[in-house]
Amino acid sequence: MRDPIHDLRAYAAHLESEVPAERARARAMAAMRAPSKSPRRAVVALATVGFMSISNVALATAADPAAPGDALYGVDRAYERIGASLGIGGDHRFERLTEAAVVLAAGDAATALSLVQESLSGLLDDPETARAMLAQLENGADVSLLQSQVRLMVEIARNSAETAGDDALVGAANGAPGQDIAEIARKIRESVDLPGQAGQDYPGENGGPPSTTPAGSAPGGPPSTTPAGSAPGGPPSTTPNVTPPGGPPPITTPGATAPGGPPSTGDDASPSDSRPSKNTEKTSPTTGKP
Amino acid sequence: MGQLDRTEGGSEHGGWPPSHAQIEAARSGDDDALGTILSLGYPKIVSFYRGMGLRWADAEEVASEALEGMVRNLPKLREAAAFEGWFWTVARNRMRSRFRKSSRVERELEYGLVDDPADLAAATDEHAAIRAALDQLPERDRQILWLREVEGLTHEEIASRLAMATGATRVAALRARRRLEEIYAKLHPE
Repeated sequence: MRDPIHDLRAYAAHLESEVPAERARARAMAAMRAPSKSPRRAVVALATVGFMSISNVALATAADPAAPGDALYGVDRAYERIGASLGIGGDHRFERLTEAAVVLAAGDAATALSLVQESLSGLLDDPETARAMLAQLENGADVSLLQSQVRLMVEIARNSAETAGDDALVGAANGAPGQDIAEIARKIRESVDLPGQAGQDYPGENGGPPSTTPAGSAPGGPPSTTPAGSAPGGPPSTTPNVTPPGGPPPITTPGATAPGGPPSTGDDASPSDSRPSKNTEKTSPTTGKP
Repeated sequence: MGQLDRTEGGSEHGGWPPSHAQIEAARSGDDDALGTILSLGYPKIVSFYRGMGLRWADAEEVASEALEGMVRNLPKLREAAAFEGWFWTVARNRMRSRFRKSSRVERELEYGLVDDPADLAAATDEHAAIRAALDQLPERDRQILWLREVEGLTHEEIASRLAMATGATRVAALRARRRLEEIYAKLHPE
């Protein structure tokens, strides 16, 4: 009879020889590069996350409405960053706009501009959200404050371009030169100018006090290349005949707080308050340059 | 292969088992040493799994998982002399974990020798008889035979890995060998 142990060893050698050396090397390297999947480590991590979630939920809730300058503002932003890294936490761009309004009211135009631009950075790259945001602004009855803030950010960006020589504002704009800010302002208008909706007013906006400057009527005020209401897609947003009842609260315009900004004169027909169509955007309203 | 050289401190010619110096280097964070050890060990684990009845692809997959387990657990290895027993413990535990996770139907599919196309192609080769004989042995007998007769582990090492008394391991190994011979006698009456 054949020796089964001898055959067993020969069979094992045969099986072993069927594995190419290159594959063995590759599998060894892959194993060395594989991330650790220690169950114990995972349990500890989960327990830690769970504990932190429970103990910090109250803190996160308390910090959520914090604005720059508040004690919990840093906590609020930290939670947002963690949420963003995990793909949760919602859209904080609205929150940035709210904060911008708060600090602007406190007279800190530089910080307001920084916050507004942070909010817009995603908006400019995300037209779908921009449309959704605008649609929300246009359709919602209780979003007058947000609507005002969107208008505010347009004004801030535009005024920033006019005050390009102001170091504080330029620095707050992440070092962007004035011309870049004007470009941002142009993109802002494009981003909120929905197809087929160009020329429509921001709902609720017209009920508030006018906040813009008549063309050429004030120092630093941006000249308009499109007369108010004279061209499709470029109507003034403060036209009285579309003012809905119950407009938003008064808007603190950047002209009132930002150095060199255009003064608010209350001229409803001001071209500078209009939302030019995409065609007219090719020319900077502030510099006249493409 | 056969009964491997089990020189003190492992192989001095870069083969299996690795030398104590190689093992210590790997434990100290030498990636080259660790890579060499794993590259040498991988075919052995695949062979073991195949001998236990796993299909080719499953054997390779589980062997890869076993290597990852070894990388993670190498710092826990107390001394280089215990490496080989530890190596086979990790390999065996990985397979056992695979068993636990598989349903009975999945296990039958994974461990069916005759249904594996690669095995059917080799059904007439000289290994067909030993494969058929292994298939008829209980799982524990297969493991003990392999670790003892192919990998050359001592009864003490096998006993500690299988949570058995050393004496019981000796008896079980002898019984497994007799069973294999009986099956073989039926397959080869002459």
